[in-house]
Amino acid sequence: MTHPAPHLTLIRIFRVCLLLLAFLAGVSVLSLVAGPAPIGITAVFKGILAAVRFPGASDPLTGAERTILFSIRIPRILLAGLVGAALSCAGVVFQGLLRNPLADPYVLGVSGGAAVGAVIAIVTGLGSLPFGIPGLAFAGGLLSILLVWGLSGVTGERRTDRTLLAGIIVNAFFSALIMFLVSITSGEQIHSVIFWLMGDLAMAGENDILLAAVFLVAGFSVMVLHARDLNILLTGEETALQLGIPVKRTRMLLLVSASLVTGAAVSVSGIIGFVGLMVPHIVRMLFGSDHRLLLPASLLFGGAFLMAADTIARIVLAPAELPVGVVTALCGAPYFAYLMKRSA
Amino acid sequence: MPILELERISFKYGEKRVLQDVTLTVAKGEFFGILGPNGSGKSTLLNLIDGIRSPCEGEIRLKGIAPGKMRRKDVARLVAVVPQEASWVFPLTVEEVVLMGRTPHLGRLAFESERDLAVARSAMDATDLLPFASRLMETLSGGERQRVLIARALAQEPEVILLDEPTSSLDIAHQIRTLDLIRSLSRSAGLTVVSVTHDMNLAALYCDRIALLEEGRLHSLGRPGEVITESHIEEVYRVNVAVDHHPLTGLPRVSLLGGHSPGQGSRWESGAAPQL
Repeated sequence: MTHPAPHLTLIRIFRVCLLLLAFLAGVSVLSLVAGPAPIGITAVFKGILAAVRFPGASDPLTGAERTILFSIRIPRILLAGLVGAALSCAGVVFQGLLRNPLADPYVLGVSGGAAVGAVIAIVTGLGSLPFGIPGLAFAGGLLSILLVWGLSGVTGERRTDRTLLAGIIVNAFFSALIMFLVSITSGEQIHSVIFWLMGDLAMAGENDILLAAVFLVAGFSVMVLHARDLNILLTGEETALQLGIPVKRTRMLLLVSASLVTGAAVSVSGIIGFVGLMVPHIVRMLFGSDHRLLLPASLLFGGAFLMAADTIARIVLAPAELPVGVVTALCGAPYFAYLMKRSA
Repeated sequence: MPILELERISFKYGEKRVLQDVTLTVAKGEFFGILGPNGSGKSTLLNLIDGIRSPCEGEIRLKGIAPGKMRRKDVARLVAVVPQEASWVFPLTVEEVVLMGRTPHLGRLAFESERDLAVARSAMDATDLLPFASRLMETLSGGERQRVLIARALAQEPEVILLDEPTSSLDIAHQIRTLDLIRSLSRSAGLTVVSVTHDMNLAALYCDRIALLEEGRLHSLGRPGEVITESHIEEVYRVNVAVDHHPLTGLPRVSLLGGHSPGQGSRWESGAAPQL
């Protein structure tokens, strides 16, 4: 078996990203058009052109169509793209740092920890403070990854199979905490708490989108700056030290940034599983393991993937909706099983 | 000035004493061997030279500076390490791994230049790996993977190379080729070599000087003919050996005779057969 790529160049990264951008654009167009209310593709385009005051564009949309397009579909598609991108990048970083192909924010309990943070913010009212919900979600996510880290390497020699076990323990604990919070929460709050258990992109507001975007840009920048370090960490921490990487600092920066983007994603969309697991593997199979390409490619592909999954969630039972977490778990769990079987 | 100075080094893992009072120096361009039984502190000694661990007592100086106090990147420009094995969980090609050796010479966002690629290519050429350049690590044999790690260390263009049993899974042709290559680099380019090994005959053939470790202490130090003697090996390893001089090279030649050395006593002796 040979590898699909020779050594990596900037041109190759550029080409792959252009290709994936085109794919992302294609998926967005499908998502814009798909839905219980039929709006034709030309009408969608003309409507968007008119909305951005493109010279000479006339608006064919009715008032209701305009509301559906601009207040429901577009925010939701943007959010799906951002959350998918965030979870995929976090997955890439967790898999690389823990040297475990089965790691992702959901399996490691980082999403669960972030959800507990978000739910606590709501229940205690801290969520009304600026950055209250995403801030506590980030803290919860970071706490869980530190717990997983601590549990998996007691004596320094870190066994990669133990990280998964530690993730299961942490995840179980945080799931129980969420259940507990659900049981003691009353009336109107309960719906917004359950939302975090299912994973849902329907409640997106403008602020949510902006917030997820800001966190993603910040976290992703840190990841890209350490892309080559991640390559070397794949071959072991001692090797990384020997090749000149200050491992402790690099690891901490990467864990914080991956938890940050996970926290942001969870605080606006709840727990959406398996995206962070599947996307990095698919991208690795297509384009290789070099993080300088893997990170941006997973960002774009992950965005497109969750957009597509959310579109399926919207139309499959239309006019009723599935939570998008149901769709990702339905394709993700069998995939996870396949990976485990293959690596065993 | 010697490139590497160890002065009364001691090291403990918790309460367990691993190295005690080791003093030695290595000159630039020297091929220096470290021999000793399992658990005698050989690999720890390499970790100390590389600055991954710092000694509990004593001082190490690499070109006059303690490696534990240097930035990792600066150490990596000076010292390359060939470990026994590494982990290959994710698909990486041979060329990708060898190019990792250029990391200490590259800026954070820089891509490998033509020169970096050329250095990696000649390292792969020297280790017979060019035909494998685009193969995935997981598809190689143990010996081929070991050569990749050697090529990566060469691509680092270090002044000191630390080898941890570098030839343990190589066939004899590649053992000789690899050690010839490293010795020629030490002769021509002044590369300093510190190699941990179990193979005394190879050590005698290639090393300028050898340190023999016993339970963390320096047992003996000197030229191969001075260190590899029947009495030293029987003292340190407690096995019967015959050491003579090789008829062609005149270097010490170790032959294993089987059985524990007399006088030391084995728990299998005096009729106490193991209960199997």
